[in-house]
Amino acid sequence: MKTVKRMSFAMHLLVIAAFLTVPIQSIAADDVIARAMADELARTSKQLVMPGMEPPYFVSYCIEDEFSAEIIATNGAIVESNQKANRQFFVDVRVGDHKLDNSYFIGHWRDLFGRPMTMVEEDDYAGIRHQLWLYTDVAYKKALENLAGKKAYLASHPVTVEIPDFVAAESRVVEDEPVDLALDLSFRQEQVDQASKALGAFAGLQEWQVILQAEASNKRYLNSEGARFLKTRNRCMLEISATALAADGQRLTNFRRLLTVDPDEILSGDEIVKEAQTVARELLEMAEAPALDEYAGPVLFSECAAAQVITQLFSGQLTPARSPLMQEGWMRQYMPDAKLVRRVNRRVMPEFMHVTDDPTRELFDGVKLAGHRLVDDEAVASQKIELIRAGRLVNLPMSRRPSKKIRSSNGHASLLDNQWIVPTVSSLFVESDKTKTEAELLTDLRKTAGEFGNEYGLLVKRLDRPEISSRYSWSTEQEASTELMTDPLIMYKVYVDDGRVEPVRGLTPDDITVRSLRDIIAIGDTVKAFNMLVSTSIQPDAYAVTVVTGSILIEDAGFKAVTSREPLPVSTRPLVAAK
Amino acid sequence: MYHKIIQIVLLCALILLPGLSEAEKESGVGDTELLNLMQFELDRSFKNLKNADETPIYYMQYAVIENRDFALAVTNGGLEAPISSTLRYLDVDIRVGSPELDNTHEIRSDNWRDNYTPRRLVQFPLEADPLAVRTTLWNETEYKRRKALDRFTKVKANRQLKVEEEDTSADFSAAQAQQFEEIMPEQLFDAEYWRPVLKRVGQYGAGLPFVKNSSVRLQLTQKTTYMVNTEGTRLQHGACYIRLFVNFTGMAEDGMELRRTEGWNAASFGKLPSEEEIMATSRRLGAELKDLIDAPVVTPFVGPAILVNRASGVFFHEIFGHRLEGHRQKSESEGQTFTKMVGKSVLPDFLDVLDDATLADFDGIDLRGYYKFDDEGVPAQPVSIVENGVLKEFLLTRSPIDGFPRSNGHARRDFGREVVARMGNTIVRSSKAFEYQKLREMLIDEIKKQEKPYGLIFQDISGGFTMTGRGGTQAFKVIPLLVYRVFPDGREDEVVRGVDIVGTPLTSFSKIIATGDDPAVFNGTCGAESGSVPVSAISPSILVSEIEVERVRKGQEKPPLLPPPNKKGQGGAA
Repeated sequence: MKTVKRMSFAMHLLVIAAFLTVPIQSIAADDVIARAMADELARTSKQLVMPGMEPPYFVSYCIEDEFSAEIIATNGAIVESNQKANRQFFVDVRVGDHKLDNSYFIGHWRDLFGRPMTMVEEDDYAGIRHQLWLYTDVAYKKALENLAGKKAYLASHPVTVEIPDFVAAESRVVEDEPVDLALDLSFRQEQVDQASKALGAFAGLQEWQVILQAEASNKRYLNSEGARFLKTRNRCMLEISATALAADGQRLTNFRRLLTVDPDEILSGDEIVKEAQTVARELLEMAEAPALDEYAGPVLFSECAAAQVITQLFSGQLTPARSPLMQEGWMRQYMPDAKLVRRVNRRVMPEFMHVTDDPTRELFDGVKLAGHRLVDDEAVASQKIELIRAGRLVNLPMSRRPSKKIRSSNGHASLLDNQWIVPTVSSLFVESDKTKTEAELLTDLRKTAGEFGNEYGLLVKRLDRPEISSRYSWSTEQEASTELMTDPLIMYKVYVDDGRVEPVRGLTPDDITVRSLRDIIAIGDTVKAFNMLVSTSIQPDAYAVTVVTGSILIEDAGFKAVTSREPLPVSTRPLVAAK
Repeated sequence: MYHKIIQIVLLCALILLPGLSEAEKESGVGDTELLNLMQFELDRSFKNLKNADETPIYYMQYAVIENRDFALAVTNGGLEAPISSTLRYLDVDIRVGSPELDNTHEIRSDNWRDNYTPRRLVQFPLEADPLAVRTTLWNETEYKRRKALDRFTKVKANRQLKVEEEDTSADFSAAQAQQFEEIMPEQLFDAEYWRPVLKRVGQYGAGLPFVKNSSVRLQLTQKTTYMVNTEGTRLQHGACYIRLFVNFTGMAEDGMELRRTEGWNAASFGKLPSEEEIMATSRRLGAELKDLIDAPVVTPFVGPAILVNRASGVFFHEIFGHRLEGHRQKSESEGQTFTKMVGKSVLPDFLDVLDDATLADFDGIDLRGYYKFDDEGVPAQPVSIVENGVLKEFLLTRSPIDGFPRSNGHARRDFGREVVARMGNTIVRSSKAFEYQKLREMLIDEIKKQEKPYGLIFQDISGGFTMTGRGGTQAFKVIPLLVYRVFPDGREDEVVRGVDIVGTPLTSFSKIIATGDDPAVFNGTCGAESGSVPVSAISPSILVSEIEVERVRKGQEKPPLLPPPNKKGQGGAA
């Protein structure tokens, strides 16, 4: 990767003032896509204006070429094996000025659920430019309309502190070598099939699925300030999931997701089978386990659950630093306020804890990190930021949309599929001044549970992912949970008196909030990197993050009983082949 | 309220799937082992479940639909990613109670959800792996059994709480068990031939300065249905749908979006037109689009008109055909326009209407409404709906209606939906047919007789919708694409734009004066409660003494501010 700082900051401001007339730094003649983007952006910059209205002051184009391959096996056989190519276009046209522009105002429900625009797949200069022309025209007119709506909204909802809508950023040119988009998973088909067939031997399973996905993408970006990037991405994900019913009708699911950024890190066929068998054994152990009515006391979140605690209670509540303006109140449910952004400079974790977000870090303990990037989706250099210092929240991931307390970008902008550019975390490193071994954590769990007067403490190894468990639900009327934390899937009682461990089930969080982070009393010293996909309220699996953490012991957390039940099957699942 | 649209054009943006070579290697479509496994699990499930509850299961049906899809498209001159996929979906139907009253019975309530089942997509193994096939069947059977029992409880309570229904016929009728198995020949999608053809046609459209968006698309769907039921039916049959479309859109200065489309449908690639024909059609579409962009907007109008054959086919499909679907005669929420008119005159006495899904082609054109068995396993059969203007029969599933106790093979659905009665090949025949030129002269006579300034010729119609429910207006709207204004004084016909045809069915049919002798095929896709199904309509041109048009809902956006890039003479290139 080569990185070029194109011009000084002062020069950059002059460029903005002069509006968009800088010729694009030389683009490879054979890069048809980049050439079409540059030529149409140049024409847009010079000529696009609605008579009697203002021209854009900023335009950016982003085209992502994505190729994905997917193999899905359900209940013991392949149900789908496909390869898809998408070329998607994102456009940001801004009218007004940096102080007040059309951005981040939701005047219509469609603004919430925007979708990327599709482009022709062929590297056809004329075809691409034609579509860029049409999409830009629509975006510019929409921007003018939105600015008028935003001004009208602000007139009736005056703000007390004026914060700019868009801040200047250093213009960068970053170019990766494009990745080969011709992924081939066909040699893995047999492995996925075998893993799915292996699960057929577990009589207690009702349904199961093994999914192997691989994606490669080349993302090209260009803006009217002269910034440009070509970023590449590789991602592979193995997902194994299964469902079973407990004797009392509680539906249980279990899953394992392994996300890698290197296709060579995918497990071997034998390893996939072993993982699948582990998922099944854990699930059936839970199905046989007694259901609890409630629990209050210490909880040790280990393995995957520790990383899930960080994403659900912490990183998911850091952004956006500044919410969009919304015409109607109901829209807020789709872009809820992040619960930690108003706690900058306040203590949100115990003093012994520190958290950094380092997108520039590529590896941890030999594992390639999914959160790695050198430039964000606004072409701003990604920066390592300290989020928690001695328990205090000191910074937030920022895009070029400033907040009241943080007025500049730190290179954490992500472009989501619904066309929103939002700040996101990338690679989180959870550190502690005092770490403990896993054995010491279990001892502390028992000790603390005893102090609560409990017979046992709770050990949680995996939390639910609703987008997976909902596939198996027979209920069509599921209640939307207001809890930040999802249900524990794999959990155990750890008895105070003798330390024995027994599986349990049937609990759902009862008002576990960001304040629970302050109740962390210990962090494990066995630190692992967990590559994960994080969902937003609008888009499942919206972006990748890495959480590097050890187990987390929370002193006091409350759970209540899961009450929903489903009727049991009256016939037995077929276990042998038909003759 | 019932809402439907015939789709003429698919304008979906598509995604790339693997190359097409795999399909080209295979020689036949069909899985001989699958039916055996389905039969085995059906027998086991029925034996285990039929008396497992207080309410018995009396009928079960398993159907697996396999769709092999291939597509190539060119948008604005550039190739889209090709599509290639094979997927199977499972439908399990379970009836509890008895044929007289079962879980499918209509629940009379103000809550539309009581009679609405969301689409349920159950992906099915692509190989006949015994354990996977049987596990998937077992799980879905348990799910559907639970849903059937829950609904039957509501049905029984509803029947006790509400007044007696007008139509007290049973919920399910007997049908003869069918056995049929065929291996369909593989249709080879020759991408190497078609890719450059589509590209050349696409580039022609993209190069027209007034064309805002252009697309050319070729798609193949090869469908195989596997079905078994507890009455002994065992079916494996296939169908092949090939569609080629050319679509150009443009925008008038007043913001009205306009389009011209032509489509070809076939069951084999050999019946598609040559490149020269496609290109000639594209040139015609381009010229028509230009005329439309420059055309005046018509104000609301009532007067005489001709609906040219294919447009007339759509007109009959929308306005007449849907009102003859069996379930609409039974449902207490439907308008039942024709329910009590059997044996009475509903159309002019020179018209016959039949629906014949056994017809594979008409005048050399393959029909999309052709099928061998319907989605309840009943063989397709010709149904004479109207003879000499008199209503004789409805389109029927195995849900009988008053006076019509047996299915006539019109139960249809897209996978994941519940079956209802649907059209197949709807055919309008006339005994008062004239050459088109004569029909046109009759139109001019009618204009003069009514002292109207002009009449209209509807050359092309995209589709429309009709509302048949009692909760709505029970009116229809048909969306013309190409309309000409015909003057009585010999002036040249003039292209006009901006109108939809509206009306109510009984009034509209009473206005048909005569027909042409030029029956033609409209092949389309019909959307209704049971999803999208392929259909055909065959009709001659019709002359109506009076038709009402209203102004269309028009876009308010201004045309693009900059001229298109890359187009000669437009000055758009940077």
